[in-house]
Amino acid sequence: MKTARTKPVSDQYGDLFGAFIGEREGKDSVALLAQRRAAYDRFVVAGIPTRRVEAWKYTDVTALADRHLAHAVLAPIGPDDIAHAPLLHAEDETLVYVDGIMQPHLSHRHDEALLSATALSEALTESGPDLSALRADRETPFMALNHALWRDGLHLHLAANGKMERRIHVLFLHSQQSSDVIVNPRLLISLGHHAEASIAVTHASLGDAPCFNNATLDIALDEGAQLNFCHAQLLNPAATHIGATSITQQADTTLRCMDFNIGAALARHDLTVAMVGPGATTSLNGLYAVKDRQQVDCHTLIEHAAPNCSSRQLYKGILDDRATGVFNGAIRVYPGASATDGQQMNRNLLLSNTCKINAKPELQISNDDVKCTHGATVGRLDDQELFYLASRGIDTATARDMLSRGFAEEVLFQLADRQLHSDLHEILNLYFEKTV
Amino acid sequence: MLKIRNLRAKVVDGPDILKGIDLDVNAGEIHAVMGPNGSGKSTLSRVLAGHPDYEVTGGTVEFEINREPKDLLAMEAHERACAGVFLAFQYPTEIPGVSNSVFLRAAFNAICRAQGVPSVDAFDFRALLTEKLALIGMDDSYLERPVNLDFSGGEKKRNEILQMAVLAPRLAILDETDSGLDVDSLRIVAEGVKSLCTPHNATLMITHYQRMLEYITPDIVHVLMDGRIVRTGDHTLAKAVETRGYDWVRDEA
Repeated sequence: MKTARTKPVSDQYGDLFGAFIGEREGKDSVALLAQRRAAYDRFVVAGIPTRRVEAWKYTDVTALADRHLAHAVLAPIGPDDIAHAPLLHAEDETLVYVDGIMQPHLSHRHDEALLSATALSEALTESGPDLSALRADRETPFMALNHALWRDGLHLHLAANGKMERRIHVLFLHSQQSSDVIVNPRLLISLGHHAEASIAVTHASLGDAPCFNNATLDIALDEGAQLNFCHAQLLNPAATHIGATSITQQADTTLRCMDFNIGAALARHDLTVAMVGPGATTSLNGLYAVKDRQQVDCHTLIEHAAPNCSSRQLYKGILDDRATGVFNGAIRVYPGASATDGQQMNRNLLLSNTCKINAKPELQISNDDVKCTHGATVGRLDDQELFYLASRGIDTATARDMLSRGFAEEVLFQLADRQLHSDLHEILNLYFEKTV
Repeated sequence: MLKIRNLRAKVVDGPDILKGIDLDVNAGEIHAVMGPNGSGKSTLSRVLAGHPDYEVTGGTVEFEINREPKDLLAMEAHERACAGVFLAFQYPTEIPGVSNSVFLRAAFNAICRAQGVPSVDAFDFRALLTEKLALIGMDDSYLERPVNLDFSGGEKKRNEILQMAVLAPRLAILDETDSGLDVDSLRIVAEGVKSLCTPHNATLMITHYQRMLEYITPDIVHVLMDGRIVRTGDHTLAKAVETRGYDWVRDEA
């Protein structure tokens, strides 16, 4: 039965799209309008995946098929309104979005010569970046929906050999809306050959209203480029987040990535790293921390498609109360990708008897000359560690708190950027303060 | 200070390991508890520290707090530590993600709070640490490393003595602190321990060999075999065990 694998979307999406495309006519090129229509059609044909689909086995998103969603109504937002937004630093190159709309008056640009920001509506129609690399076969229904409905998409490009000293921060904020809204952030980042940058992309809420944040992010690293990348999902506990991040690495590129997921009622993040040039290295660190009835689902896919590439993954999860989590980490080694070195580790800490984690590492190897390891652990706080702290006078509650924080700190410690480290540390403190 | 009477204990769900221990330790004394492998030495140290893997099946342990004898066995592990009992682990536990300095300060302040002494701020605590680090030949770089993680055997043992120096216990139990140490580390660790012994505290050294006793002369030596103290004497007993072996004690007993 075909319907068992997907759930058809309600007519409301048709209304959403109809209103949207009417508004875009005259703004978008004919070609772009056609792309949007085609993307919307793919979304409708695909429908919403049910748990019969392997990739969605542990996360039920079918409620999205008939959820009442509206477009956001934008009220003016001033600097005071976002003063407490996370990871904001005046010295950064900061690009601020509210409800999917670019906010130049809230953004701070220091070096526009080195880092260009082009509206995606232009970038897509000009000679621009080749988006065929985005691999239509990988497109999820949610990506198709995003490709139909994105508003102020942006292409950030760091010129070849450019060394960006300042951190680049793209902040997607959600304002307090009176109805349940859908927002489709879309961002494309490219680093020219031998360019170096540190980029953070953050999703956060300004209020406690629900929203469906459906984001796609594509990053392309040209030969020899180096990127420190941090993805932080910090939405309020009423939000739904579905994000797809695809990173393509050419030869001799270096990627250091932090994937931080702590917010939203339901969050799904698909992170794909395709190493298509030889000698690329990737270090991927992830942390998810959830409680109450939060659901988090992290899917990673590392594609070793060229020789002499190495990847390191350390994903850690902390779950409490009735929270559930999924970690699905795949490493795919293609024929010809000789001397591949891929390592993956997933560790989970369960702080309650009612939380749940589904950890699933996957290796798909089509090559002999590879060194791949993976592992997953699920456990509670270690009794020996607790006793060690107790034997030094530290009471049980404090010891549990210290060990839980330490468990997370091992991942955050991998961040070379001390400011980011301290920001995420503070955010994590809030998680623990309400837990312990 | 410490009065143990007919103490019996076992690993939870296991057979008895301690089969009636009697031991008195007074302030200012250094005791050595020697014994062959499997005699119950480490069990004794862990039971005194309140390790959850062990179950006390009989006997009493009194520990003097403010000149009042208190039932040590009724106290939680952290309460014992706050009351001044310290166990230097044979195999110190690694704690990823928790730095040595954060850990030491948490422990120090917990004990200060419990004893009604004002806790210290980060700056003053750092000064205290610097002084204690010098005592056991460690440098500042130890402080920011996660507790015991990727420490060598010698570094772990030094770290235990650093903690002992910072927490200033009234009763220090050293479980095979001399094992796994090279000659230089042994000397540094032993001299560190020796400098911490005062007329107001007591030290219980659990050891298989007498190598550490060459640096620290115990006032009283006990030989533990099969869960019981079978012989007690002065420091010459340790020498006798070293030259004549445990079989000799067994035969004599």
